[in-house]
Amino acid sequence: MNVQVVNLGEVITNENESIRGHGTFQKDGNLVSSVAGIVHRVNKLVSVKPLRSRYHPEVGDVVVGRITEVLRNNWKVDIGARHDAFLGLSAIILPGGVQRRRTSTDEMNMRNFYKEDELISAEIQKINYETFKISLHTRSFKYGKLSDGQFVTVPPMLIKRSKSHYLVLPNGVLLILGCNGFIWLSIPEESELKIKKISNWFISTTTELQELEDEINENSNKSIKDKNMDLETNNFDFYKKKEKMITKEQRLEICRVRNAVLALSNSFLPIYPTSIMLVCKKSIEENINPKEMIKQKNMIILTSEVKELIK
Amino acid sequence: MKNISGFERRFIVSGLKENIRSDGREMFDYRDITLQTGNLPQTNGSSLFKLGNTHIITGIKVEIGEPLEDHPNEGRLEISVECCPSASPEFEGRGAEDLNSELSGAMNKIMNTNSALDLKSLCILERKKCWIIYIDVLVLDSDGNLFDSVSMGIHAALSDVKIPKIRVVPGDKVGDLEIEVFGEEESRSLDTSKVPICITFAQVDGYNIVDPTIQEESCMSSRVTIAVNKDQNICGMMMGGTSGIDTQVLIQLTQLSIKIGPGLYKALDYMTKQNTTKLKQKNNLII
Repeated sequence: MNVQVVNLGEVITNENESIRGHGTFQKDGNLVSSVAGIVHRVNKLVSVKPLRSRYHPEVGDVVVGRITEVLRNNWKVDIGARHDAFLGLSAIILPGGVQRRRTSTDEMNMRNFYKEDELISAEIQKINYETFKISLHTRSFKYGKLSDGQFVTVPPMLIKRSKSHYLVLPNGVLLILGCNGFIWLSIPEESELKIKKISNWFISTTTELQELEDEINENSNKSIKDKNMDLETNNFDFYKKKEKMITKEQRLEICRVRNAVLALSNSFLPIYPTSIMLVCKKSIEENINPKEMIKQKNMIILTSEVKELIK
Repeated sequence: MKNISGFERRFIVSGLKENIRSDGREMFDYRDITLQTGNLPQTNGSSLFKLGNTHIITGIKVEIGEPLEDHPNEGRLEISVECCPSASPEFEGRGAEDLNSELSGAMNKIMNTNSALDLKSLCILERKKCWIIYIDVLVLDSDGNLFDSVSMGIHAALSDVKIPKIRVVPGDKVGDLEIEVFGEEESRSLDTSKVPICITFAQVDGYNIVDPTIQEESCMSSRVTIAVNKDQNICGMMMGGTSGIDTQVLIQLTQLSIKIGPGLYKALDYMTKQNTTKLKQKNNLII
């Protein structure tokens, strides 16, 4: 695969036929790059994607955001993009799952749904490119308020857009990979999940990798169905979020996954379920405790297998 | 303080019940320490200190000045700590002013005394000339626990300082005295065996944790910073935060800090030694 990496001010091509896309400009009849990144060519359109930049929102992205303000009939959410996003009152699930018009009582009760500084997972509904208004919605059971877990930030370009961003890993950790680089780690709702011990994983062939990924999808879908049952009750339980009981082993697994994510981010490697599981598996093989995973020398050992896989 | 939701706070507190913090550390574990000395060649001593994601750079310049009136035969330290506005969102504009003066005041209090450094050895001419050691600390990135990081950064830079050899000669006019400064090869180091470092305890819902991250700092109700030295003596104590601390708890924390101190000093000394051997190897290559 031929990948052209350009630096700021480097000439990409001097053909007059190319249409200039994002990250390029014309100078002396040449097409010059205005950012440091990788060149993308689609027919005649030439653009440069920067290696490190702020999150660029796209419609349909799953993001994790923090509520910054409560306004009259919407919430302002910080998603780490150039502008804050808006979550409208009509874009959330009401308790009981009813579909009705939002009244002024709903506007008074907004803080019963989401308060300032709370974390939510949502999907980008639409982007108005003229006013730069990013609209979010939480109209599915996998989105909504995030509680009883940990929040981590990584550079957004390490997270590839994939089919599912709400994942339950085989070691029993719930992982929400926001496309904006905001990641949430927690425990899924109680259900009969197939939780295998990490030492029983064999991730050497591609068929085994596929099996593992299928298992993750199965577990994630089961967990989403359980969340649905929460909504059947006609009160604010869905938003009040009672405290989940988390055992010591579960907590250590959350720490292990958190440090795995940070180790991958440190080496600028892509973050997706397979790479995270490879790092976790390596940490168990080498007998590295979660608290020692963040040491520089250990991070190099842990990410060595992932680097081999990427090649 | 960083914005943190009630649910994240609840998760951190319930983790402390099991003695597990967000990165898997236990209550009295420090994060990974990385240390480099001699980074700034234009200074007399410097260090780049990293505690987890907290990055501190320290630069030391020694200059000749006049001693203070009440200490005529002593030199002195002048410590100034500044938090870079890019280190944290709350340091934007003038947001870091209070923190800067608090950190500078605390470092001056614990280090600018005869019990930390031999200030009398910094005197050149009684009542007229002495060495003034200007220490400038810059917080490049903040992930909590600035007191400990700044004190350890200063300790590392002081162990790297080289004070030039001088000679007092008669000047042009009668009765005048001039000071001749020799080159770098004939300089002396400072004795930093008594320089203290700080150990910060954060109180989170009744639990005491060491080396808080910025998320844990936004959950804490109060903070106790205890300065200890290599001889396991307590050199100073500072408090911060909004709630009070039980006297029994305070006594327990001072005893804990004496136990934690030696481990930190060991790590600092080991890394300073590694740095000096690397420099020696470099010099050998040039020769």
